[in-house]
Amino acid sequence: MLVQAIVTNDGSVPLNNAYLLISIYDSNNVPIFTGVAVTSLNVGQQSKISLGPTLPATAATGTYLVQAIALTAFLNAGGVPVPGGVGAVTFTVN
Amino acid sequence: MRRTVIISVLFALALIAQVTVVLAQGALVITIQATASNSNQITFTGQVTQAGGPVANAVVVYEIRSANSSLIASGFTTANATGAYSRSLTVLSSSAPGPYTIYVSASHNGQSASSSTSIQPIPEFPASAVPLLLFLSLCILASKKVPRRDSRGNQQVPNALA
Repeated sequence: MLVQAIVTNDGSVPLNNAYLLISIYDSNNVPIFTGVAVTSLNVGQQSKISLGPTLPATAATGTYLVQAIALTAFLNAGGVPVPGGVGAVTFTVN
Repeated sequence: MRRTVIISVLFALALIAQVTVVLAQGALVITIQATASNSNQITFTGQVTQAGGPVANAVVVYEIRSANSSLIASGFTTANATGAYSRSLTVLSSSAPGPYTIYVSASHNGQSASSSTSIQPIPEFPASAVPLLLFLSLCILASKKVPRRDSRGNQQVPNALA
Protein backbone atom coordinates (compact mmCIF):
# COMPACT_ATOMS: atom_id res chain seq x y z
CA MET A 1 0.00 0.00 0.00
CA LEU A 2 1.25 3.48 -0.81
CA VAL A 3 -0.06 6.60 0.91
CA GLN A 4 0.96 9.87 -0.65
CA ALA A 5 0.26 13.21 1.02
CA ILE A 6 0.61 16.41 -0.98
CA VAL A 7 1.23 19.46 1.21
CA THR A 8 0.94 22.93 -0.31
CA ASN A 9 1.77 26.14 1.50
CA ASP A 10 -0.94 28.46 0.18
CA GLY A 11 -0.48 30.85 3.09
CA SER A 12 1.47 34.08 3.18
CA VAL A 13 4.38 33.01 5.37
CA PRO A 14 6.94 30.22 5.01
CA LEU A 15 6.24 26.99 6.85
CA ASN A 16 9.25 25.87 8.85
CA ASN A 17 9.52 22.35 10.23
CA ALA A 18 5.84 21.51 10.03
CA TYR A 19 4.97 18.08 11.42
CA LEU A 20 2.79 15.98 9.16
CA LEU A 21 1.08 13.13 11.01
CA ILE A 22 -0.66 10.44 8.98
CA SER A 23 -2.79 7.71 10.53
CA ILE A 24 -4.56 4.85 8.80
CA TYR A 25 -7.66 3.36 10.43
CA ASP A 26 -9.05 0.01 9.33
CA SER A 27 -12.72 -0.79 8.87
CA ASN A 28 -13.01 -1.52 12.61
CA ASN A 29 -11.70 1.95 13.46
CA VAL A 30 -8.40 0.53 14.66
CA PRO A 31 -5.34 2.70 13.95
CA ILE A 32 -3.07 0.28 12.10
CA PHE A 33 -0.39 2.75 11.08
CA THR A 34 0.87 6.16 12.14
CA GLY A 35 3.69 7.95 10.38
CA VAL A 36 5.38 11.30 10.88
CA ALA A 37 7.22 13.54 8.42
CA VAL A 38 8.76 16.94 9.01
CA THR A 39 8.73 19.40 6.13
CA SER A 40 9.49 23.05 5.43
CA LEU A 41 7.73 24.90 2.64
CA ASN A 42 8.11 28.37 1.22
CA VAL A 43 5.01 30.25 0.18
CA GLY A 44 3.45 28.52 -2.80
CA GLN A 45 5.74 25.51 -2.53
CA GLN A 46 4.46 21.95 -2.66
CA SER A 47 5.83 18.77 -1.15
CA LYS A 48 4.88 15.14 -1.73
CA ILE A 49 5.35 12.73 1.14
CA SER A 50 5.00 9.00 0.55
CA LEU A 51 4.53 6.31 3.16
CA GLY A 52 4.37 2.62 2.44
CA PRO A 53 2.86 0.60 5.26
CA THR A 54 2.38 -3.13 4.69
CA LEU A 55 -1.05 -4.59 5.23
CA PRO A 56 -0.98 -8.04 6.83
CA ALA A 57 -2.74 -10.92 5.12
CA THR A 58 -5.18 -10.97 8.02
CA ALA A 59 -6.13 -7.33 7.54
CA ALA A 60 -9.79 -6.56 7.97
CA THR A 61 -11.77 -6.01 4.82
CA GLY A 62 -13.89 -2.94 4.29
CA THR A 63 -13.41 0.80 4.15
CA TYR A 64 -10.20 2.22 5.53
CA LEU A 65 -9.69 5.85 6.54
CA VAL A 66 -6.50 7.87 6.10
CA GLN A 67 -6.21 11.12 8.03
CA ALA A 68 -3.38 13.63 7.77
CA ILE A 69 -2.81 16.62 10.01
CA ALA A 70 -0.17 19.34 9.88
CA LEU A 71 1.12 20.72 13.17
CA THR A 72 3.71 23.28 14.21
CA ALA A 73 5.08 20.59 16.56
CA PHE A 74 3.75 17.49 18.28
CA LEU A 75 0.72 18.38 20.38
CA ASN A 76 2.34 16.93 23.49
CA ALA A 77 5.22 19.38 22.90
CA GLY A 78 2.96 22.41 22.69
CA GLY A 79 2.31 22.32 18.96
CA VAL A 80 -0.84 23.67 17.40
CA PRO A 81 -2.57 22.84 14.12
CA VAL A 82 -1.44 24.62 10.97
CA PRO A 83 -4.56 26.45 9.69
CA GLY A 84 -6.23 24.41 6.98
CA GLY A 85 -3.72 21.62 7.52
CA VAL A 86 -5.99 18.58 7.58
CA GLY A 87 -6.98 16.07 4.95
CA ALA A 88 -8.66 12.67 4.70
CA VAL A 89 -9.28 9.96 2.16
CA THR A 90 -10.86 6.50 2.22
CA PHE A 91 -10.09 3.32 0.35
CA THR A 92 -11.48 -0.21 0.29
CA VAL A 93 -9.75 -3.49 1.12
CA ASN A 94 -11.43 -6.56 -0.40
CA MET B 1 14.86 61.05 22.91
CA ARG B 2 11.52 62.52 21.87
CA ARG B 3 11.41 60.23 18.84
CA THR B 4 12.11 57.22 21.04
CA VAL B 5 9.27 58.18 23.34
CA ILE B 6 6.88 58.59 20.41
CA ILE B 7 7.88 55.21 18.97
CA SER B 8 7.48 53.60 22.38
CA VAL B 9 4.04 55.14 22.81
CA LEU B 10 2.96 54.00 19.34
CA PHE B 11 4.23 50.48 20.06
CA ALA B 12 2.35 50.46 23.37
CA LEU B 13 -0.82 51.65 21.61
CA ALA B 14 -0.43 48.91 18.99
CA LEU B 15 0.01 46.34 21.74
CA ILE B 16 -3.09 47.57 23.56
CA ALA B 17 -5.07 47.46 20.31
CA GLN B 18 -3.94 43.87 19.73
CA VAL B 19 -4.89 42.83 23.26
CA THR B 20 -8.25 44.57 22.87
CA VAL B 21 -8.96 42.60 19.70
CA VAL B 22 -8.20 39.33 21.49
CA LEU B 23 -10.35 40.32 24.46
CA ALA B 24 -13.19 41.28 22.12
CA GLN B 25 -13.01 37.85 20.51
CA GLY B 26 -12.64 36.11 23.86
CA ALA B 27 -10.32 33.29 24.64
CA LEU B 28 -10.67 30.08 22.65
CA VAL B 29 -11.34 27.12 24.92
CA ILE B 30 -11.42 23.40 24.18
CA THR B 31 -12.56 20.79 26.68
CA ILE B 32 -12.09 17.03 26.62
CA GLN B 33 -13.53 14.02 28.44
CA ALA B 34 -12.65 10.42 27.66
CA THR B 35 -14.29 7.08 28.39
CA ALA B 36 -13.14 3.53 27.83
CA SER B 37 -15.35 0.55 27.09
CA ASN B 38 -14.77 -3.14 26.46
CA SER B 39 -12.62 -4.32 23.59
CA ASN B 40 -10.13 -1.47 23.96
CA GLN B 41 -12.53 1.13 22.63
CA ILE B 42 -11.79 4.73 23.55
CA THR B 43 -14.21 7.61 23.08
CA PHE B 44 -13.33 11.21 23.69
CA THR B 45 -15.68 14.14 23.51
CA GLY B 46 -15.57 17.83 24.22
CA GLN B 47 -16.54 21.28 23.08
CA VAL B 48 -14.84 24.23 21.44
CA THR B 49 -16.03 27.63 22.66
CA GLN B 50 -14.99 31.25 22.34
CA ALA B 51 -16.21 33.90 24.74
CA GLY B 52 -18.61 31.31 26.10
CA GLY B 53 -20.23 30.69 22.74
CA PRO B 54 -19.83 27.56 20.63
CA VAL B 55 -17.43 27.51 17.70
CA ALA B 56 -19.36 25.65 15.03
CA ASN B 57 -17.47 23.42 12.59
CA ALA B 58 -14.19 23.83 14.45
CA VAL B 59 -11.55 21.38 13.32
CA VAL B 60 -10.14 19.47 16.29
CA VAL B 61 -6.86 17.63 15.80
CA TYR B 62 -5.68 14.95 18.20
CA GLU B 63 -2.76 12.79 19.21
CA ILE B 64 -3.02 9.67 21.33
CA ARG B 65 0.12 8.60 23.15
CA SER B 66 0.94 5.60 25.30
CA ALA B 67 2.41 5.69 28.79
CA ASN B 68 5.91 5.89 27.30
CA SER B 69 4.85 8.72 24.94
CA SER B 70 4.75 6.53 21.82
CA LEU B 71 2.39 7.88 19.20
CA ILE B 72 -0.55 5.48 18.98
CA ALA B 73 -2.84 7.43 16.68
CA SER B 74 -3.55 10.88 15.32
CA GLY B 75 -6.23 12.51 13.26
CA PHE B 76 -8.94 15.07 13.30
CA THR B 77 -12.65 15.49 13.76
CA THR B 78 -15.02 18.37 13.18
CA ALA B 79 -17.23 19.99 15.79
CA ASN B 80 -20.95 20.28 15.14
CA ALA B 81 -23.09 23.41 15.29
CA THR B 82 -22.87 23.54 19.08
CA GLY B 83 -19.06 23.23 19.05
CA ALA B 84 -19.28 19.67 20.36
CA TYR B 85 -16.96 17.04 18.95
CA SER B 86 -16.60 13.30 19.45
CA ARG B 87 -14.30 10.54 18.25
CA SER B 88 -14.25 6.81 18.94
CA LEU B 89 -11.54 4.36 18.04
CA THR B 90 -10.22 0.98 19.07
CA VAL B 91 -6.60 0.54 20.04
CA LEU B 92 -4.78 -2.64 19.11
CA SER B 93 -4.24 -5.12 21.91
CA SER B 94 -0.60 -5.26 20.87
CA SER B 95 -0.19 -1.49 21.16
CA ALA B 96 1.98 0.00 23.86
CA PRO B 97 0.35 -0.25 27.28
CA GLY B 98 -1.80 2.48 28.75
CA PRO B 99 -2.77 4.68 30.30
CA TYR B 100 -3.05 6.69 27.12
CA THR B 101 -2.97 10.47 26.98
CA ILE B 102 -5.20 12.18 24.44
CA TYR B 103 -4.08 15.62 23.30
CA VAL B 104 -6.54 17.81 21.41
CA SER B 105 -6.10 21.22 19.84
CA ALA B 106 -8.23 23.59 17.80
CA SER B 107 -7.56 26.86 16.00
CA HIS B 108 -10.01 29.62 15.21
CA ASN B 109 -9.56 33.24 14.11
CA GLY B 110 -5.84 33.11 14.73
CA GLN B 111 -6.17 31.67 18.22
CA SER B 112 -5.37 28.16 19.39
CA ALA B 113 -6.52 26.16 22.36
CA SER B 114 -5.27 22.83 23.62
CA SER B 115 -6.26 20.32 26.25
CA SER B 116 -5.49 16.75 27.25
CA THR B 117 -6.74 13.89 29.37
CA SER B 118 -5.65 10.37 30.25
CA ILE B 119 -7.57 7.13 29.90
CA GLN B 120 -6.88 3.49 30.70
CA PRO B 121 -8.27 1.21 27.97
CA ILE B 122 -10.29 -1.82 29.02
CA PRO B 123 -9.01 -4.98 27.32
CA GLU B 124 -11.27 -7.47 25.59
CA PHE B 125 -11.01 -9.82 28.59
CA PRO B 126 -11.46 -7.56 31.62
CA ALA B 127 -9.39 -8.26 34.72
CA SER B 128 -12.56 -8.10 36.80
CA ALA B 129 -13.65 -11.41 35.24
CA VAL B 130 -10.60 -13.31 36.55
CA PRO B 131 -12.12 -14.27 39.96
CA LEU B 132 -15.24 -15.60 38.27
CA LEU B 133 -13.14 -17.64 35.85
CA LEU B 134 -11.10 -19.11 38.72
CA PHE B 135 -14.28 -20.02 40.59
CA LEU B 136 -15.74 -21.78 37.55
CA SER B 137 -12.46 -23.66 36.98
CA LEU B 138 -12.46 -24.90 40.59
CA CYS B 139 -16.07 -26.04 40.24
CA ILE B 140 -15.20 -28.08 37.14
CA LEU B 141 -12.18 -29.67 38.83
CA ALA B 142 -14.19 -30.50 41.97
CA SER B 143 -16.98 -32.13 39.96
CA LYS B 144 -14.48 -34.52 38.39
CA LYS B 145 -13.37 -35.83 41.81
CA VAL B 146 -16.85 -36.89 42.91
CA PRO B 147 -16.98 -40.74 42.58
CA ARG B 148 -19.66 -42.15 40.35
CA ARG B 149 -22.25 -44.50 41.83
CA ASP B 150 -24.39 -47.09 40.10
CA SER B 151 -28.15 -47.52 40.47
CA ARG B 152 -27.67 -49.53 43.68
CA GLY B 153 -25.57 -46.81 45.26
CA ASN B 154 -22.30 -48.68 44.90
CA GLN B 155 -19.29 -46.59 44.16
CA GLN B 156 -17.81 -47.19 40.75
CA VAL B 157 -14.09 -47.95 40.90
CA PRO B 158 -12.13 -47.47 37.71
CA ASN B 159 -10.68 -50.73 36.45
CA ALA B 160 -6.96 -50.32 36.77
CA LEU B 161 -6.40 -53.23 34.39
CA ALA B 162 -8.56 -51.74 31.68
